Amino acid sequence: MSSESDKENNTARRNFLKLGVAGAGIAAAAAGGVTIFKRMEGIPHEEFPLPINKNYKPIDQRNQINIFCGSKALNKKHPERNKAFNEVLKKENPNHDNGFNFYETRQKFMKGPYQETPGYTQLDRALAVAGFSSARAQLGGGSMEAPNNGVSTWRQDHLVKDKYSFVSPEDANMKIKSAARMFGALRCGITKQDNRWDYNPIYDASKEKELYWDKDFPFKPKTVIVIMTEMDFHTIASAPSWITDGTTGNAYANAIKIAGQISVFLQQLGYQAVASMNDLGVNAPYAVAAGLGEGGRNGQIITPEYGPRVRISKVYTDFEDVEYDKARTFGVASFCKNCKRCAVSCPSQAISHGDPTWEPEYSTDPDYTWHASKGVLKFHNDAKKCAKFWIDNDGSCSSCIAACPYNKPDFWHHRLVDAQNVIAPGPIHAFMREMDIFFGYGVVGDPKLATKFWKMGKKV
Amino acid sequence: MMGFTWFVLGFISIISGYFLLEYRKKYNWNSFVIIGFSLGLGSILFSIAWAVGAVLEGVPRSASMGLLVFGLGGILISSLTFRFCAKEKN
Repeated sequence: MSSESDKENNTARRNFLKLGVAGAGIAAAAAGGVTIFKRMEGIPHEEFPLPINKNYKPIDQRNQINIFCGSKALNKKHPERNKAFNEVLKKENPNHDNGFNFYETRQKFMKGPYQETPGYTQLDRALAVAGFSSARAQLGGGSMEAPNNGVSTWRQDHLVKDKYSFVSPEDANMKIKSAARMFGALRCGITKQDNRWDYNPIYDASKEKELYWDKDFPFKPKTVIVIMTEMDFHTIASAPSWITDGTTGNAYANAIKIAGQISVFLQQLGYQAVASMNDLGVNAPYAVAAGLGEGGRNGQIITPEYGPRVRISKVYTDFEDVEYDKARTFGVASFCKNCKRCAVSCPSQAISHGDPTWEPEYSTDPDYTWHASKGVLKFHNDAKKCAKFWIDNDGSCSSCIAACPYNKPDFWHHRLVDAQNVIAPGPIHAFMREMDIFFGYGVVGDPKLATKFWKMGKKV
Repeated sequence: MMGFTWFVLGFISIISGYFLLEYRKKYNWNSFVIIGFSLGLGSILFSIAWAVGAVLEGVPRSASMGLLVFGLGGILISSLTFRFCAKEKN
């Protein structure tokens, strides 16, 4: 009788233990899930998350590659830059004729003959030009870098006298972002204006004129609202074909449209505001500071959901009673260190294969590294080689965007891989890059993908 | 389409769970068999969900690789569970 009772007691104890183990397992899984979810939302930082040393100086916009390519006066002023670049090209290719000139060669950009290859035909060129037409029209026919033009005018035509008072800084943050969402923003972040990221001086290449914040800008900006728009996955997949310009231009058009609308929204609330595309300041650090992503190896902002497949615009305003978003890190920097897929895929080999550095590793010649933002611990890329490939390709490239493992459509299984990436150590990142290739993502330079693009219309 | 896939996979999961419990009673399977079959079945269902997602996003190679890696993995786990755990019990 007593042995039967012992048996029953043992069974009850075993079942209790089993239940306990199962409960502990469920609790551990839940805690792990919450941790991963928090990491995917990003780790917030009080300060800018990239190390910056005392050598860092705000960027003179005259040294920005697209501005230099678009300015006859700057090319005339700096012949040593063209000379140094030609010398490097000659070293790499003895057949190079030393005839490269950033301004003159760029004038032929997107004007070359149509080709037979898919992605480089008249149809593809038409898409590229049409893609950019709206952004150009909104910016008064100017380039994406031109300040004080069209929608990005410095005039405060919509400014009203009555200043609207938000309930709280948090309320202001939410209301501005709600407006941005409705206007079509993919993501929006709000951060403090920072002299480190603003061009100084600003340069208008169309008028060959320097502009200064204290002398020319209509107000002292306090806050920068950063807006992101998405580029189409299947269009970027055809990189480096001309087709990619269609979605690049389209995303620019959406970005400047929203920035323009937000600037009018703020002016109607009684605050001065100016919309900005690629002028006034550098988009990537502002987007990092606003918690929208991290700087990647390819020099672009990498968002956790869309990777680098985004375009960024911003709004400068004197409104400051708003809660600022915190910079966040999502594990992108660690992934980029191990991945290098963009560097391998880059047709001009402009992207660094090494670890982050304070200064460019590709050269120490100041006539060659004039465009680099020295003093930030990051991947320093040779923007001149990138610009040259655009001209050789007769259309912009986007290969580094297409190849990036973070560049995925917004589907559930990619979020699952992202969840794994935020907790995995370095060697796993290298493994995940191999898996990305194995699963067929990030292929660059395949004409079939250009042909595939022109069959996507059946889904509309 | 993805919503319909989740519905079908959810339905298959419930039916499979029911049969696993029934067979457990019938053949007196232990926890290892249940865990093995659950993992195998879970992996197969995951591979189907992955494949449908990949086809919908327009990357068919990812669909086939998903079926190969996760689906085959699931079949392998189920077969090993049957061969080394469940068969003895049967």
